[in-house]
Amino acid sequence: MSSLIHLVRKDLLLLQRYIWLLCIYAVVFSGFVQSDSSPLYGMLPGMVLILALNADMRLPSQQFLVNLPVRRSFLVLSKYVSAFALMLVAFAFCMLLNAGADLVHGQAVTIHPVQLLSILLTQILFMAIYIPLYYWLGLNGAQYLNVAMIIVVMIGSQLATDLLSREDTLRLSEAMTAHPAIAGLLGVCVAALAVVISFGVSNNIFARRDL
Amino acid sequence: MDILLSHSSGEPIYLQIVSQIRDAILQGKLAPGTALPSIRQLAKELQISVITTKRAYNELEQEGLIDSVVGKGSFVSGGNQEFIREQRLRALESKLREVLEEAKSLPMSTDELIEWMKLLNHEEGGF
Amino acid sequence: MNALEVKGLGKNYGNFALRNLSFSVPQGYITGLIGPNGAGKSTVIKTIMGMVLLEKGRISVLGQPVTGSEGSYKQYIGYISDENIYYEYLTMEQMKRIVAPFYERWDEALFTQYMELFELPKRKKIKDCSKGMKMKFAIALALAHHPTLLIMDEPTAGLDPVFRRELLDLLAEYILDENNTILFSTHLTTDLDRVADYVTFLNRGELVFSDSKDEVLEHYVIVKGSGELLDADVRRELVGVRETAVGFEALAKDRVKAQALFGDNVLLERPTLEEIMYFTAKGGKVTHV
Repeated sequence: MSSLIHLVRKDLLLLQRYIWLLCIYAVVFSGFVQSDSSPLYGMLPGMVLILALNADMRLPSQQFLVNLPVRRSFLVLSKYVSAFALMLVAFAFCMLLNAGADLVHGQAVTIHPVQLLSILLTQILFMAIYIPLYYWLGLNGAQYLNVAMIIVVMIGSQLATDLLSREDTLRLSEAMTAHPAIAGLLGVCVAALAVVISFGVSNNIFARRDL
Repeated sequence: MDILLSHSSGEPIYLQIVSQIRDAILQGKLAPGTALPSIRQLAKELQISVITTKRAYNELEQEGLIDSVVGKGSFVSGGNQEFIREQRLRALESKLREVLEEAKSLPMSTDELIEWMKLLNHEEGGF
Repeated sequence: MNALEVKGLGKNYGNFALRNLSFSVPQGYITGLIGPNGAGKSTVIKTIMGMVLLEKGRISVLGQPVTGSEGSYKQYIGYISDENIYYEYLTMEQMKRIVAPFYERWDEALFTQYMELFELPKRKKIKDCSKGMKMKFAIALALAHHPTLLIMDEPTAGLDPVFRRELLDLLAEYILDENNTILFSTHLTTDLDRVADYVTFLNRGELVFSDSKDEVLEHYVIVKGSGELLDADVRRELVGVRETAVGFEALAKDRVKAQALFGDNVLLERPTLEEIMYFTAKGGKVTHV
């Protein structure tokens, strides 16, 4: 168990060099600069996820990890834990930033719990798809994957925003707002299931890889 | 005690160690009871393998020149002066036999040989 | 007692395969894993370290079986890769901070001692280090957790002779403790001619021999003679032959037999490991001692 903590700690240390880039990026896309702050929620956690995984993308790094006195499955698990933790942090950071922007602009702080929860769950689903693909495509493929994923993240968050403002989805979100507990629980269950299946797939792929 | 190894002479390394330690003992440079470096220490100093060093020590032990005590190391064998003298005499004998062989094939008589020996000894300032 | 045992190791890559490799690495000694490039040395080491998956056969390290999923046996292994596997953009100090917590027996004082001995600046980024410095750093990291088995994959390739000699000193220092064991792969056998106790020789994915070095060097013999001596019967006794206009040079695997066969007609010489490797690879035949 302690080795899991050390692995997550390692991911955090590796991400340190991007911290300024992420901050600048967050501010640029936040409510301070943009009129619509929702793209930030879509992009920042996604970027953090991609950066966290790619820190170990090179073959020598994979070899380094496997040479540590740790089970292979822990290496995979640690990626999920790191990615999840970092996404949560990034998400919270986005919320703080946007709340700050609202205050600066003299507006009341607006938080849409349904919207935020659905974005978060989408992020988790995104993670559940991204990590197995990352392991499956291996080292060279992951570079193309990243380009594709950044586009998905950018277009996806745009699409999600559009979708949420359309009439029929509005009705869906009204239904969700009407039964927030049930909708939330359902969403969390789906996301959790997706992550479990995703881990199983990733672990299976990585357990069979020669490095 | 110095041990100087040649890696290009063709003579096996362990034999070089054996003969140099043996000489040092027989010539009295290493007194009985003197501790020899441990096998691993000597291997390290000479940058040679542990097995080679071990083999040299085993050989010396079989010749009765050193004693190995488990956990304590190896020591120059004490109290066996008679044996060591015998060893040296035997070594001398085999060299004399060689000289005799060579003399026979030249040919040179034994008297001539002895005369020559005396002459050589005189040149070296012997008695 | 063996620090490492490999039994019936097999791995198929299509164009290259390890076939039924069995050998052991005795505890307390230095074992050299030799062979030309592409013989399978790295694959064997990577399999021991769990980087390459075990397809066929069994491996045990210090009595513990190596399986694909298990990792705890690596607590006792100091592994030194032939290439830098550490994060290039980190400083050596940052890298150490990542590695250290994984090892139960991490010795910070010892690590600092090695860093000072090797004159490595802690704050230097790994990507700015020379190849020799990277190797020294890897050695410091590997030794600082008190491994009982040190596995080095081509540690001397690309390093200058000065450091190679220093490395031999370090190995000798480490092996002063008879609980410690070293497995050292190399194609530069001059390093091993001196210090190795045992030699395991791989060629084209197969084991040629695994024996004590002295034994090997006394068994094999270099034969030099006139080309007229080479007939079919004679060739059968030779592992590999280099023929020139002025004679031949060959390796025979049995000194006594060679002496009986050739008598005084040839020059018999004690081989070096390099010569054994050269002629065996040239002959392409796999023979067993």
